[in-house]
Amino acid sequence: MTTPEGDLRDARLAFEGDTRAFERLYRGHSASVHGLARRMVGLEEADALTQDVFVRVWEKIGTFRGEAAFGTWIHRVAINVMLARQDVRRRDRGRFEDDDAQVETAPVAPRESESSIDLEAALASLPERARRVFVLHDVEGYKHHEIAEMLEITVGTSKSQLHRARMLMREQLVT
Amino acid sequence: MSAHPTEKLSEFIDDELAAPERARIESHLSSCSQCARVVDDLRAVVSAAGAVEDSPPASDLWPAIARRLAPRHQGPRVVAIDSRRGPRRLSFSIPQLVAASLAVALLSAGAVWMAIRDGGGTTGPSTVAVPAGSEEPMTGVTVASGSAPQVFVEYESAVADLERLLDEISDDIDPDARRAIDRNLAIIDQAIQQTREALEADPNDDYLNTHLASTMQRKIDVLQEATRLVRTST
Repeated sequence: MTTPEGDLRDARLAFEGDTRAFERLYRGHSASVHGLARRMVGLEEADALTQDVFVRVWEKIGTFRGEAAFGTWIHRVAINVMLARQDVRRRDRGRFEDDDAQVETAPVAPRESESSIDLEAALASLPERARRVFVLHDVEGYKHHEIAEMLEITVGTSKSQLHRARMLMREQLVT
Repeated sequence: MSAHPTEKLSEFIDDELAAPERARIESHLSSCSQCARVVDDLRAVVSAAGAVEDSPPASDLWPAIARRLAPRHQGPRVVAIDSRRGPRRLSFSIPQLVAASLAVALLSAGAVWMAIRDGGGTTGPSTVAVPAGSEEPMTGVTVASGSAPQVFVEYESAVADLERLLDEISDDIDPDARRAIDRNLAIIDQAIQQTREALEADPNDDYLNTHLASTMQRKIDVLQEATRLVRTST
């Protein structure tokens, strides 16, 4: 169980080089970072991405001032790492997995009872842009203007991608 | 309102519509069961997203993370070097330090090439890394003190040397193995090129700089490993 005071203390110790303090931060926040990674990039890459995030946090921890909760701060760092990584991977692939063709051919999970809803499996089938906006807005709680800034899109695009994502999720999750 | 306002229903449930438009949609919903059901479904999706629970990774990632944590730099970020003009200090930005660490690997690669080319003899001054923060001037040592772009130029030079060496011994390489090496190098080259393009848009992005450095290092590793395997098998 983490506390704001404990996180701030450990962050300062980690900044001074204390890896045990940094491990405590990892233990306290790895589940939420890994969850974010799973939802943003899928289970297959989540472990590697989580490692990258914590290495990045180690490098950046001197900029954490305790003005926001450590959990909030680390999620913002995590999102930046994930977006940068996805951008590089997208360039590597030479294409962007977010076109209408993909939406039409995206694998659709079989409809099951509400008790077996698998949100993350449904998320995995969303086009990349729509998934990003959905995760940031509906799971992480960011506002459209914040998402627009992070993803370098307009607020209108953020809203339309969110609606697109929700409608696709509806097809899969709601009978 | 006769047409279904489907595209506005997310903004409706998020309460982001101006009052007149909201009133129009409420009026529509009161007489359109189809749209009313979509609203209920969208609310269920949003509710499910908000209730998602986190679970830790299946395996403990800490050991792998701990291995990657760079030791903390103590004291001012200054590199002391000795030169013919007397001691002087150079300060480096983080990207430059990343690039500088790459340069050490590159220069090592160059040294390997020199040693191989010259039959194991030594030529010229030795090249070593100066630990960041070192206050002791180091005698008889040359240090790559160029900027990050200069380091990348040195990288190109070291890679060219290794590629030339690989070409010289290519007759000793199994054709299938050589094709595999070339395929790997092509993939790495593409990654380097694309990362460089990304850096043109954001030259100070630490992640991209690190990615570029690690990708370059990967190319050096592939080249070194290829030449080492050939030389040890012949």
